[in-house]
Amino acid sequence: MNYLLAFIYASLACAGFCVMFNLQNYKIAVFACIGGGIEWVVCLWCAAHGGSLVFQNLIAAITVAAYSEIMARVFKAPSTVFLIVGILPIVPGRGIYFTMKYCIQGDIEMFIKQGLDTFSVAGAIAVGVSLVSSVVRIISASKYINNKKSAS
Amino acid sequence: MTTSKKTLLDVACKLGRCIQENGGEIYRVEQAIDFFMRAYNIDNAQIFAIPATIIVTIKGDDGESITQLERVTSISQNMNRLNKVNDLCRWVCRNTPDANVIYEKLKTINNSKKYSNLSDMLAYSVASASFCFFWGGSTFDAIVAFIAGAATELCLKFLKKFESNIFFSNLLSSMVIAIIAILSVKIGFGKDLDMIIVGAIMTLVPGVGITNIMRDIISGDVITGTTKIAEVLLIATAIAIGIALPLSAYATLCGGVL
Repeated sequence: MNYLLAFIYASLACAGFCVMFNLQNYKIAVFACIGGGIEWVVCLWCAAHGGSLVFQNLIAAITVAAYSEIMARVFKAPSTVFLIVGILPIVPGRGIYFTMKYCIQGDIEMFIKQGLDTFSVAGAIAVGVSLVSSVVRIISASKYINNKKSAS
Repeated sequence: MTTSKKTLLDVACKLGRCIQENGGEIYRVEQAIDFFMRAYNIDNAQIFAIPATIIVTIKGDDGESITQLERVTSISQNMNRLNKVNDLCRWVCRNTPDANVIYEKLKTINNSKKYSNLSDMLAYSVASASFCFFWGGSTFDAIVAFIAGAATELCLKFLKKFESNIFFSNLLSSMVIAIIAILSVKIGFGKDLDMIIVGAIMTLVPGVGITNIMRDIISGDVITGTTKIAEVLLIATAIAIGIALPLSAYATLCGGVL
């Protein structure tokens, strides 16, 4: 039940961004939002089962990247469309805010902790996305090579 | 095929430009132009793209090299157009139509309708409000975030008219958010200052940048990647400063508790 609510909140939050990015295809927009929801549920699930902050964001990023690559094949659309909408719930906007807040409060210990957390979450997202798209690249390259072989 | 190579080069550059202006990755631009050239039987096309420029060189009809450079000044995320131009590229590479046909189609894509100003504003508001809920804000906080979102959009659009740079427009927009949040808390409508601000700044945070950087770097465009890292850091700093100024002013002048 908790997960269902989280799913709905995350999907709704993504829906606003679909309009912001001028995503006019109704079907693609809905599936992009669902990606965001799935990602947040995965993130929460990992957190509930004792995953560290970096790990849960990494897994969530991998999930949404894999989802967007699959959906890109299904809808014949660029995978960025699904990816940049779906990734939004784990983008560390909250982290940036609290880092800044601790900074102006003069709480240096928390400032450094929060800053490093924010930075590593951003890093985890980038690594997760790059892992999936590297694998996809290798798969599509191997397909291309096989086609060439069978043609000649 | 009677189209001259000069026209083909121009068409290819315009296609690449359209992809880049609407938020496509750099490797997608290079790949699209490469496929285009191969579809029209032009070998050994040299393509180089970075966030600001596209340079393409091919061998012309008389064996001399011809080069075209496209300067890309404004990049925005328009997924509808990106989608359409992606489809157009696939279609062109399969059917190799005449240059005029492609020009016509590109023109319709470039003039395709955007969402209206009102729905744009609503989008910012809804995104802000739902992110406020998402991080655990109350209903009142979400209402304030809703207003702050609309104000952000107005501010961004206003500054865009004067071609303000990316640092200043983000700084000013986040300042507007912070001021609205502080005012609402001061009059007792908003409850949790943190939640309002966190919800509203999600519309400014460069999530697109973070995701695209690594995709660019692993596809070999290290120059693009580093440029974008600088941009992301700049935006993040601008947001932090923009929020920090009103907050510290509030704390010192009015004796408010952060």
